[in-house]
Amino acid sequence: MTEVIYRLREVGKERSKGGVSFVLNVPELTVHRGEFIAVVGASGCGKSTLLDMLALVLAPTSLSSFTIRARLGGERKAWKREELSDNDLARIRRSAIGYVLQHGGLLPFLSVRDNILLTAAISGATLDEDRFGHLVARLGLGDQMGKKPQHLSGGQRQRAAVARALVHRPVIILADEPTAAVDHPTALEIRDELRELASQAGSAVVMVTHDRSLVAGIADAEVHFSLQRLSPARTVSTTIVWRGDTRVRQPQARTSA
Amino acid sequence: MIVRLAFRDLLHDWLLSTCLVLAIASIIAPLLILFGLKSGVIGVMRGRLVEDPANREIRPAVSRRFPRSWFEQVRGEHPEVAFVIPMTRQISTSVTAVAPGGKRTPLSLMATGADDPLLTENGAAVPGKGACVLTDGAAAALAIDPGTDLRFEVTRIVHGQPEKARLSLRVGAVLNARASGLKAAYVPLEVLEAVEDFRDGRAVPAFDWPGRLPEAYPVYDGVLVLTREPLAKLEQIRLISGTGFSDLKTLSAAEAEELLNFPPAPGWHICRVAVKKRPAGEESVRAVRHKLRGTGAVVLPWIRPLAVKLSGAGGGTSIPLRLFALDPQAARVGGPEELLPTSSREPHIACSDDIPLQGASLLTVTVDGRSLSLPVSVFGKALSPGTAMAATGLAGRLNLLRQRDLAWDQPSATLLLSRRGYAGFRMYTRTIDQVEKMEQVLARQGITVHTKKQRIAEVRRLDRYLGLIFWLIATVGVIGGVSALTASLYASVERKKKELNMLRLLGFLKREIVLFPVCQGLILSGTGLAVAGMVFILVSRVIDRLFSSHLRGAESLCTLHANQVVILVAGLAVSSVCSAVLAALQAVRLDPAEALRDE
Repeated sequence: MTEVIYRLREVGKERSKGGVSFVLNVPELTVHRGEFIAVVGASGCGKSTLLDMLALVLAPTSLSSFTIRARLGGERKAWKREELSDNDLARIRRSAIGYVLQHGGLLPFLSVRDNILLTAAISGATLDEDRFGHLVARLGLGDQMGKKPQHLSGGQRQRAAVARALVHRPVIILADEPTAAVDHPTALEIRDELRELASQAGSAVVMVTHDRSLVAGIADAEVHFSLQRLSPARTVSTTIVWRGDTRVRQPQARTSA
Repeated sequence: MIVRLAFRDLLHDWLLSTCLVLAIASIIAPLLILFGLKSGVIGVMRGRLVEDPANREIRPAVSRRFPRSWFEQVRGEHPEVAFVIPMTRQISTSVTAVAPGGKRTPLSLMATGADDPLLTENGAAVPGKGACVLTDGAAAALAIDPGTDLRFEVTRIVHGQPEKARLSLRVGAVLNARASGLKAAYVPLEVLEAVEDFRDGRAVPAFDWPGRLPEAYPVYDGVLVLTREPLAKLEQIRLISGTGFSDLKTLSAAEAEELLNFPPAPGWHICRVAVKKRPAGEESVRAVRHKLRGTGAVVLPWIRPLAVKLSGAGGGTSIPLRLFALDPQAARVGGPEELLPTSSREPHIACSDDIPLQGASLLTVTVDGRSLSLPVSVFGKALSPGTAMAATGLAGRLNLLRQRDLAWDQPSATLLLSRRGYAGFRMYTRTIDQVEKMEQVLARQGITVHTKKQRIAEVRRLDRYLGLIFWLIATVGVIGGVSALTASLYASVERKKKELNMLRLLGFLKREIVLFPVCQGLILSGTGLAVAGMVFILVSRVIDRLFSSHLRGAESLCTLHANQVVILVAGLAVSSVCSAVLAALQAVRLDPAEALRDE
């Protein structure tokens, strides 16, 4: 069995805004090394919330277990989320996680090249020039490197964001609707590039999308959401994980069985 | 790295950065100019009024005699007195100055000396020997520049004939106009003393000016009258009426020996005719002799014995002696022979044989706190042990030391009268705050003085009010400036919120994120300050140029001290850092994800 990167058990996040509360329940989620996981759902179901929790930038409100396997302070092991300080989380983020945002999230004041190299610079990873050249060539960014992000097309911007998420060889790549802002053919290209480059690097990918057709039959696992409106002011969303055609059993079911 | 990113961001947004820099500069520049004006204007005013030595001057209101010792006492006992110098009588300070070009003008001479604040604080060095410092008015009247030689003419009238003395002094410097409105020359004290001496008819050997020497004159405490027959009552009264003596006493032989320092020959009736208080001069002795003319009486001038000390010419132990007068006529009544002149110019002194001194010696007379030393030739005589005798004239002159300072003048081999003192003084306290205290000290000595008390009070009040007004304006300005600066920086951090949270997502630590706007704030406010500084320098130049006709030398109406600049820079840095940290903490308070999606 490959290494487990994320193991979440009964992790919950409740957010309230203007008297309306939304609860996301993750009964079970396990991400193995090198897997491609798709998080699919309509807007407002909690996809981004889940992704942000995985990105360690959003703290769960309840959990029974949340571990992430990463290198921290020279030690590589499964760290318990609740035992990590803000700075530890930031250090894990900089070395173990690559992040692709819906609109790229590139820094406007840096050139494309500097944007891509930023993650490598922060994490202190040594840069393999061949690999960097390959990455840039594969994403078709070769002649865009000196430009500022605002001069790129949407697709190029997303590709630059993909390059930035990959260049420091993180074990996890979190992509939040990376293709939402581009047309369908480009979306497919970017999806393929992301998948291919991540698998070359041995990184696990968790990709959020509202478009199931983009990931159907490709993902190792799909995370879906089941929404329950308990009252006009309270919505509960529970994740359901499918691996192929099999619905992964929920822990409650297992304990009750 | 975060510093580099912050800088790159500023460069990327160069238009906005420029706006911010200009905004900050426009906040700081008026503040700089305000502070510059405050310290410049106040500085110039203080320089002119508070620090002007003229305002610290103390002058006696009426002429009085101030002995030398008084000046030494003032210098020694009052540390608040920065400078005090004697002044001669007003009348004897006026001279005529003649410039090389031929221009003539009457001038007042003023004495000066080391550390004279009127000179040193008005751009002039204290003149040394042979030099003088002119006031602005004097230099203008003579059309003369420093470095030229200026001739002074002093005139006096002797026996109805005008006499003129000349003196040449090099002009060392010209005082700033504020020092004095008078036409005056500041000269070393010796020059002023010499002018007064010349005016008074005396000679001044140092300047080669003719006149009489102020020779010491003999004074006596009485005479001893020796007669063959007792004096009749009428004759006795004649001796004390109109002679300057007032006290007559008949003496026994033993009493007379006590006063004469020798036993009088038998057969003489002796009486003492003495003064009650002020000693009498030679004319009194002559008057007594005149009245006893033809009676065969012997009249011997008498002084109260003087305590003297004799030592060898080369020093050595000094021997205390009592000095009596020895008149040539004493030999007629059993006294020692008179001292005959020798080739030696020094006065002769007869000493008792037991004194192991002979020839050239040093005689020191100390009486009533005055002291005098002179070279003498010593001759041994059969006198009572521990006594010495000097010829009547010398003894009488030495007796004058009881009233006046005397000095031995070697070139003329005479005893000269020393200057008794000075008619006035010029005094400066160290600060204007000490003027009043010193005025009280002098008032207790009975000396009424002129001071600039009123002016000082006005200046201090004005200084205080102006300071207060400037601080009020400055406080409002600073508060406004700090708020505007904080607001600008806060707003720029708010704009950067998304980027800041992006950086957090990429794994920057919280403290690094806070550093980002702090760096930007410092760069922006630093550049703003530099721009404001340039504006300030420009404006202060313009102000000084506009008012250049009212400014002297290094004065500036708009200037900042180094410590003010340091405070300003530090204050600006602190307020920029504080506002940036506040804004940054506000920006990273939320989970980065929430902030990112909060669009």
